[in-house]
Amino acid sequence: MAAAKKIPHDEFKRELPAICQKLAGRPGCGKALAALAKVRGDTQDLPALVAELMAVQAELLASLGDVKAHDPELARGLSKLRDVAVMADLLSPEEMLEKLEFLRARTS
Amino acid sequence: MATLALYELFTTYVSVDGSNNTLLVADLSGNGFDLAEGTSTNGGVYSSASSLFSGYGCILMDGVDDYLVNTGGLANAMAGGSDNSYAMHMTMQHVADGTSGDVICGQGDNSDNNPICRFTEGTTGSWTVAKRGADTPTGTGAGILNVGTIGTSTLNAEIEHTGTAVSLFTSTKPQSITTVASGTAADVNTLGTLDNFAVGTLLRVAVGGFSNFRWSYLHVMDAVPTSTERTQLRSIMARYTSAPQVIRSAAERVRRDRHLHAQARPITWKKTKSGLMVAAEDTKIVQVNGFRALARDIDFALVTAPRKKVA
Repeated sequence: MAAAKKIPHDEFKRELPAICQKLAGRPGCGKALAALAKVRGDTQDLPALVAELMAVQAELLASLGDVKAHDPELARGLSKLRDVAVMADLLSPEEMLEKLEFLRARTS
Repeated sequence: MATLALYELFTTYVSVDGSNNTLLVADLSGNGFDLAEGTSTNGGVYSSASSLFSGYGCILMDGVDDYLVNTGGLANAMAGGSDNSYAMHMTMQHVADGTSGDVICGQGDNSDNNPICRFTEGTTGSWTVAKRGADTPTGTGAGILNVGTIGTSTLNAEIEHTGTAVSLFTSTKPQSITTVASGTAADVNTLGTLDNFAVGTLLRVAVGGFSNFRWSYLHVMDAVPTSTERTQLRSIMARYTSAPQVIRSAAERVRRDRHLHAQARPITWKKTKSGLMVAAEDTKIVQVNGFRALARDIDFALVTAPRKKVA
């Protein structure tokens, strides 16, 4: 599915833990946080990121209902991150970063 | 030209739960391509009357997990196979920019990530209308890619696909058409079989690419409209994006809605000196003096016979 395109992995290495940290204090985010915690490791490139997100995308989707009840904007951001996994074959690395930026803006 | 599916969001044709989450949107074409909620409580929130759409009903897709889907053959009838032409007309309002690849209307396969066909918010609020063949593993696909600006105004979007080329027009009034792209090459080997027609996302092996927008009207055709048909469709969509009209008489209401694409239903009536007395028992489509109209609009009304029948 994912080609050998490289994305600036520093963005993800830096931002995903930071986002997880911010999620920890938000109501309804427990399951989403648990799912994201699984992909916050050594994400180096697009195929690795996509594979990790694909592994938890169902959990992320299931948790969105809870997050949406408390914070619709944050839920929209999490949904965009999940889209990176299921839309990876359609998006450019730049577009993926846009989705990360979208989530980052809603957790800041 | 034939209409494959028609969705107009009057209360009669939209089923909701107690929180106004959309459960089902009825297809008014007669083909039975109803749209069902994607997952429980995630079919989008229905409003029976919206000032954004001149008082017509609309559904808000939240961009998180809301989508509506037909799995009964609409996607394949519309775009499946080789070089299949189609057209799609939607009255919509994009709510939030800020990310890309968000699918307004997508067609996908259950068992493979290809083929796909998608109408999407492209990079940061631009338009994308593209398809990818059954034999294409990756890539954005062929067609209109990241062109123009969606904005957040209520507008009409018109997609015309000849099978090998695609055009996209938008308008806020029928006399001010914007050509986003015209005749852009969108030629792939074959789209094979498409299983899902989704509004609000792309549903294939996994569902993803949720888009945040409202919509009030959607018409899917199996061919590019003729010039006359295009004019008629724009006239219909203009009702949703223009200021609400002052309807002075029942006869005017009948004329206003004469182009509705729906099945005519018999009604009770009697002739009077002034015209026809029409009694409608429900809010279905009726036909009066050659005009099609919403019975809800005329209820029990005196309709003056027109001097000249309008086609």
